[in-house]
Amino acid sequence: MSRVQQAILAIAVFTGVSGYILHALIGVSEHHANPLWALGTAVIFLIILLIDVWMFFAISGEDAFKWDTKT
Amino acid sequence: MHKLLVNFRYLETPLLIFATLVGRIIGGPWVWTGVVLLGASIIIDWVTSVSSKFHADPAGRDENGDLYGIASFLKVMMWIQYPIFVMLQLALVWRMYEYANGVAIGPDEIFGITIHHGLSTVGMIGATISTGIYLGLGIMFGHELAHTKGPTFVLARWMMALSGIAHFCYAHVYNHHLELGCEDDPATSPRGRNIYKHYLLSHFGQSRFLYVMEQQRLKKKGVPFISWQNRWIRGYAMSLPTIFIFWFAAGWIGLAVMVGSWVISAFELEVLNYLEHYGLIREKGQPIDYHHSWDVGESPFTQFGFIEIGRQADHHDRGETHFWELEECDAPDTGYGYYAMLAMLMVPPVWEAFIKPRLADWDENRASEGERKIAARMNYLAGWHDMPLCDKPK
Repeated sequence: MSRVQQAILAIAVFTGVSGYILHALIGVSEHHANPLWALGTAVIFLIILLIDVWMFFAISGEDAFKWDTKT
Repeated sequence: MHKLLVNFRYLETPLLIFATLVGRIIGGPWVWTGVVLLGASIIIDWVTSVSSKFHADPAGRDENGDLYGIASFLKVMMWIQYPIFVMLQLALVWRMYEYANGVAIGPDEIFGITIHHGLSTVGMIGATISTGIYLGLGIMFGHELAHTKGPTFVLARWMMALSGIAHFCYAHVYNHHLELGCEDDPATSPRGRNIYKHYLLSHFGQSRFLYVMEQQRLKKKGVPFISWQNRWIRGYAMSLPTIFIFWFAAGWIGLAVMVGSWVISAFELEVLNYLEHYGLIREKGQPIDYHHSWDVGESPFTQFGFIEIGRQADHHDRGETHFWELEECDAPDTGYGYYAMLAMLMVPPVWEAFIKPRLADWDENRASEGERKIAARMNYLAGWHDMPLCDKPK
């Protein structure tokens, strides 16, 4: 498995687990129509997005963007 | 009259965006308006590309040397795209709210106009794709404004943030425009890479550029990386209103619809990056020249609709120049408009069959000696052993 594929897998797992925790354990979807809950959840989604993007950089490494290497 | 026509022709895409917005508001089968318009655009662009009857001259100048382009009109046209994009997104949110809450499907008369309430699952998919397509095509206005300074640059960031790609503005100006044609520019696709892989690597590569730039900049200033001064974080934070409104309106369904429209619009941005420099090579450290960009023939449908972005070589030569001042120049030319080429690159073998003869010509007639050596290596790595230049890397 290439490092890019590893990065995508890690992002999928992290996002899935985060979504499960938010949905099943915290129950954010029951409160999405409450503006304060919705704002707080949106901020958490944003943080998850930032971590996802950072994980891609960290796992795939600089070589992923090189032309001569197979990624 | 000629001057007015020259300026009005740039309303092509804003009108298509507006039609998509109206389709969203009317509802019913009209939510597919964006998809139908894209299909029609591909056909029209194909015809105007291959027919010698059509030739899109640059906006140009009159006999006194004054520009035909009316700066105030064209600038306002670009600025007002932002509220139109916001309305397009809000119209999608409205439709999504109806869908998620099971509003009964049926027509209603409002001011004598039939508005269809409610939406089926298929209709919801159509509305999402249509919105993604025209948020994505609107990116060209964000691109143009990203080449400005001050409030309009910030406006470009907000425009891009509607699709979660505010990092583009910095990466495009400070990375792509300085490094194109070599591997230091993630937006330039090497030979043999398909659009789907390029989408992933270019998207993350441009974000990574701003991440590293901010890491270094903030370190020099003695500011922690996680801070409000971080433009990488701030760019993503600009998408917070979008995330909030989709989640607030429809929970997980809303989030899925938002991600769907983001993926489509970001894909279109990478399609443009892909088409503008695919397979072209520049030796690192050598100046950027006309032959490092693909121009796209003279299809009026592309040149007007994409506000002259197809004049890539001149754009890269004079990055701060407004689109209505760009000129034709001696650049390699694919001969087809962006819409027509979009249809080709979606099927990678078709794209390769189209572009390889053009790249072989580029290698032969336009590349420098150093670029030819790199091209020979890249052709080998791409598996293009039938290219005239093809050498195994040592």
